[in-house]
Amino acid sequence: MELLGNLLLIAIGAALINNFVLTYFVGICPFLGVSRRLDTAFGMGCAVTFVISVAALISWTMTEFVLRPGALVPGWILNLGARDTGAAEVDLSILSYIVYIFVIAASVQFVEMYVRKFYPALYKSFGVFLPLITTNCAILFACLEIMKHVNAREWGLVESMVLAIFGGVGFTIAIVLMAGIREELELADVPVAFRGAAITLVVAGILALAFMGFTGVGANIQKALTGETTASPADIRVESSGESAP
Amino acid sequence: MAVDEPTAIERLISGIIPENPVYRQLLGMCPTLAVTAAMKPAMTMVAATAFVLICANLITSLIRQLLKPHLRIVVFTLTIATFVTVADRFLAAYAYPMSKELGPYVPLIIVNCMIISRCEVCASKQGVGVALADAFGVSLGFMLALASVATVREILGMGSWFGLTVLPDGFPRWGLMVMPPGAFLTLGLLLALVTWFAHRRSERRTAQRERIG
Amino acid sequence: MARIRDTYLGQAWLVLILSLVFGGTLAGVHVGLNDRIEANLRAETLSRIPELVLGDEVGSRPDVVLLEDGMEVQMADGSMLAMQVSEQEVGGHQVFEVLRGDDRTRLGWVARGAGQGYADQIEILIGLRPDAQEITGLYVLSQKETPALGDAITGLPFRSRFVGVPADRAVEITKEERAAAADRSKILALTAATISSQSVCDIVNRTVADIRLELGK
Repeated sequence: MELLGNLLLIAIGAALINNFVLTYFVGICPFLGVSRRLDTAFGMGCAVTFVISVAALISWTMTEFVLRPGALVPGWILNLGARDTGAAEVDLSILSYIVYIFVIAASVQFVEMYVRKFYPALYKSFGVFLPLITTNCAILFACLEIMKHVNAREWGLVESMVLAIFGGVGFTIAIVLMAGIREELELADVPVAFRGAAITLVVAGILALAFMGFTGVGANIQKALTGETTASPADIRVESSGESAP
Repeated sequence: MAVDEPTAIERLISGIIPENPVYRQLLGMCPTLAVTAAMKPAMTMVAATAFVLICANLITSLIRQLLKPHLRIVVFTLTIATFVTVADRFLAAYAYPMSKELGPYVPLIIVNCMIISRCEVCASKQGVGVALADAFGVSLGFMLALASVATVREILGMGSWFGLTVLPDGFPRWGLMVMPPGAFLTLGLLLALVTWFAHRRSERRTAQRERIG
Repeated sequence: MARIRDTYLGQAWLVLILSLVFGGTLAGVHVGLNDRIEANLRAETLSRIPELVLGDEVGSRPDVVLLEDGMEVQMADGSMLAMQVSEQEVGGHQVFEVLRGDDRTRLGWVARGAGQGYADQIEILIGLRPDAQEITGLYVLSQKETPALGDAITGLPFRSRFVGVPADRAVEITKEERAAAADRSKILALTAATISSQSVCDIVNRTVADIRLELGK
């Protein structure tokens, strides 16, 4: 029950309260570039969600078993060579960023092949934007968040996947909202200086303002799930003076 | 070397304003929005990005003869990721509070389109001197962009600049400026301003040419 | 087939050499800087311990010199006090038992607590008396509350409201100054930041309860 509550918090947090685009400012390039039409925007959102999920899965596995301090795989390899089992724990975390970016590039390649095979029309309409997902900050950001929590031994595979998938969902929500607004804006008389990126940014600012309304939802969800605050009974006695073992 | 390739000086100057990475090429928007709540984190980010850009351009330019078309993106990515890791570790070691404040945005320099685009467009084709000049020019342009956004946001949002109070206490602080909506609005309005100036310049130039021709 | 091998594998030698060179560079950076980074992480928490446990005797922001297993702090009267710190896990929280350096008497406890604030996670350090009956200090390690409103929880005015508060009852938020002055367990909330203030109280209650339950065994 507590796990489900925690997952709910992570999911709503990633999708709405701390939306990747409107709160963390990641994924701005496709947000500005691909949000002209509703159908391409939705397609881009789905593609990004797909890539984020694949990349998060692989990078969680790499982080948990290879990269974090005290990970198992390098320890096994080291102990195979050395005779003594008291070998120091291996810390490969300095390679994290390089591993993540190549995992992301590989995920994009994989998704590209999949889309080209099964959705050729969609593949054509994407054009150059599909390989450009590699440089989408949102995916690397999701991997970094997962790394932060895995290094602190807080999250397992489920929490990480929930963050990734709902982060992608939040990105899709934001980009679809923006596409709908921009389609209407095409009929409006936008000043020349604002056309293109500038008006999109101003509209994004108003969207971000709206999404700020979700702040505090997290605290209330957690309160609803965990119930009353606790207090320890008054008659607990703790040794006030005491030598502790060295 | 082709005659019409830009020289070092041309690369340097064009990166600052005419081809400003944020305002004209619309690259690197993510850090421009994320770290510009105050001048100090913004300038730290500029320093880190400049370091990565200069080193990546240098290395790419040195090995440009050896690059094969299929693998060049891999080489660029590897180089950039390495230097970003170095920059991130140095920040964590020698400027820990600032490293905590910048958080995940330093590793996000890896996917900053600005750097890969400079490697691709300039460093992989021209010599070390030109590549370095290009890196300096683009870094200066990036600094100008971030400084402009950060100045507006910090002065209006917290009444300070670089941590020193500049607005009298009577002025209300616009808290919204240091939050996400403020970032979007500031960048959007400044971008519109720059675009307006650029349009006016090009209109004047066209008018001049028509008068002469 | 041979041509593909020529194109990819044959030319991957550059990537391989670069990988080796960069890998070596990163290993060097790691070996060179890791100690410093770990020290920074430790210092962040440890340098707060004296003021959390000793309160007025050292004043705020005292001079702290970190040592191998503890620290030396300059007291308000100018003398230096050596303290030893032993890190433990108590009731699911990271807890530091703080001892006097020379005779190893317990000076107090410092516990780390975390929880959901208004906007995002809040992490705090709580100082407790040696018998865990009273809170001696509060420090906010990290928060992402609303700037200029909720983030005033990091300021001394709010934090000092927790000093001298009994640890055997839950603390509560109140908006009335009279109620806060009358009952130590009632904490005056920050103006326009009630939820942030309440969140800090909830984290304090939960952490203190966990610690006391475990220590009392």
